[in-house]
Amino acid sequence: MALETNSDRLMSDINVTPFVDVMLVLLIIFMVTAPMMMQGVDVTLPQTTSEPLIAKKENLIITINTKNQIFINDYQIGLDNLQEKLKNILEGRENREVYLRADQDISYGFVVRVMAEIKAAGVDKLGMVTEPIHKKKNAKQ
Amino acid sequence: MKNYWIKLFGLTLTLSILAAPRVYSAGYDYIDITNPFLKKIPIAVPFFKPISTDTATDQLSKKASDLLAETLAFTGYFEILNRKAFLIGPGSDAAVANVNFHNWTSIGAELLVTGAVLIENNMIEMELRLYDTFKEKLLVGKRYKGYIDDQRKIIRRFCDEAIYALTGRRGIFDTEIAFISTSSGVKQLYICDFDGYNPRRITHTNSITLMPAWSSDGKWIAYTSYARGKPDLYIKLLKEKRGTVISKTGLNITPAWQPNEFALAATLSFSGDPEIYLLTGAGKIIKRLTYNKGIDVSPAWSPDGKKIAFVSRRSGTPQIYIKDLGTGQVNRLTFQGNYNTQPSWSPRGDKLAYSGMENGLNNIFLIGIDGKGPIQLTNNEGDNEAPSWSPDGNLIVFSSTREGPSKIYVMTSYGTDQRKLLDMKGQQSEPEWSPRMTDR
Repeated sequence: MALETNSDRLMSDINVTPFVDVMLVLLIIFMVTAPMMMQGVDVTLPQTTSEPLIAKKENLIITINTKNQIFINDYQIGLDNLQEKLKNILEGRENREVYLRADQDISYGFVVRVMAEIKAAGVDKLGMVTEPIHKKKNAKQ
Repeated sequence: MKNYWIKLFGLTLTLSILAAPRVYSAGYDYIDITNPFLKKIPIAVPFFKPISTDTATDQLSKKASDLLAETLAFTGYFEILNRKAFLIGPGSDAAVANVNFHNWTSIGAELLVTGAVLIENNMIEMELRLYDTFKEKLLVGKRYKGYIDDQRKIIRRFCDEAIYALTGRRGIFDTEIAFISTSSGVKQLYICDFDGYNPRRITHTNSITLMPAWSSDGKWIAYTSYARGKPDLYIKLLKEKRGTVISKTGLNITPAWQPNEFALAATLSFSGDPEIYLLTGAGKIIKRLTYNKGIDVSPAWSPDGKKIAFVSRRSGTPQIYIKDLGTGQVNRLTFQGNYNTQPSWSPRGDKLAYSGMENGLNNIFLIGIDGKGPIQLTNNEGDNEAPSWSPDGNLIVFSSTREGPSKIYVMTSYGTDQRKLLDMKGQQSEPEWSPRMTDR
């Protein structure tokens, strides 16, 4: 009503509707560094400087080891079944956040294939788990 | 705003610190049954592990785990998680020994029930455990042994323990529901388990049977039958099939047992006017409870036995009144609508469920005994009538014509989770939930 009577007024709010659409379509990818006590399947993670992973009990972690084997937590699963399993898991969960720990020697192509399956299962936030850069390397820089 | 939240947070924190020792020691900080906005707790019930390696054990352990999940879900407290989401392999004993709690918390499970089944010489042994997955704590762990046919009993007993650990109250897993069904062609009295299992016929006559009522020890049932051509009141000891008949002139209807007494209130019209009387279990009149020209029917006792609610036309339309038996004072409770009948007092004593008619259709309402409300629980789905509370006050059973013929339905006392109780030939009506049967 107010808009009709006062049409020359500037609209000062940002229209967030298209923004929300973009958020829904995109898989949000962020990076976290694993704390030292991270247990589970043994992999060598790439080293970066990023936010440390907050250890929560409900974290869902997908691991790819050097043999291209995929694990959800410590449960091994084939690439073909990953998407369906994740869909079923997400039904019972409140958030759709998943962490991915891929060994640094895994081919980029395989990681992307796993990520595609994760996204197709309806995961909207994917945390790439890395390791903090060791102090020695920091000293060289 | 920010300040407000900080304050609120501080307050919550203080409260939880104060409340923590008491609640925790009582062991039921999981489900607050007085909260109407109860969030369903996600619970995982993986297939039980068969210990003996034969197909019978294998099948039974699957069936038993399904039955346990269904039994728990009946309360409306839980969301049963899809087994396809579980991070355990088929046949894995990961769910029995050395539970990896992270694999359960990360699929959203807050509670976990595991089990192991052993069959030996026609005897069944079941070990059942309830875990809090976040606290990584065993809440209930029990081992049962019995005949194979006892598996349902075993599972119900474990569910009872689980509900007691989670809510601090005993559950409803040993209760029964009496109802009227036309399966045989005539309205007859039937009884089934709380979950609709094992319906069995109680009366075997060719005449109409109506309005069953349980005594508070669950041993006696009273009902009206036309077996002698007119509505008489039958009082029956269920186990021994003996009892009394009250066959006064006119109506002998709507019995309601006085809590913890061998006495009941019922409507008799031998004086020419239907009034409510207090009778002994043997059928002798103790005293008259209502004095009014016009119909007074359908007494319902308060849980403490000090008051009765009943239906009266004294104001022109059927309305619900409460009489304090100590002071003799009568107060009108319902003012909304022109046709309010079938009161049922909640086991906690604070509310009444009743059926009220609006636009020609009956619906179930809740009203506080102070007259607060009423809240409508059923809506737009045929005629919904004859509410009766489960003894824990969590569920209400009622009849509904939402699918055409009258059938029996159950819902939570907040009106959620409405579902059909049992599939039977004919029409079912007038359900009455029994008290707990432990002492029977």
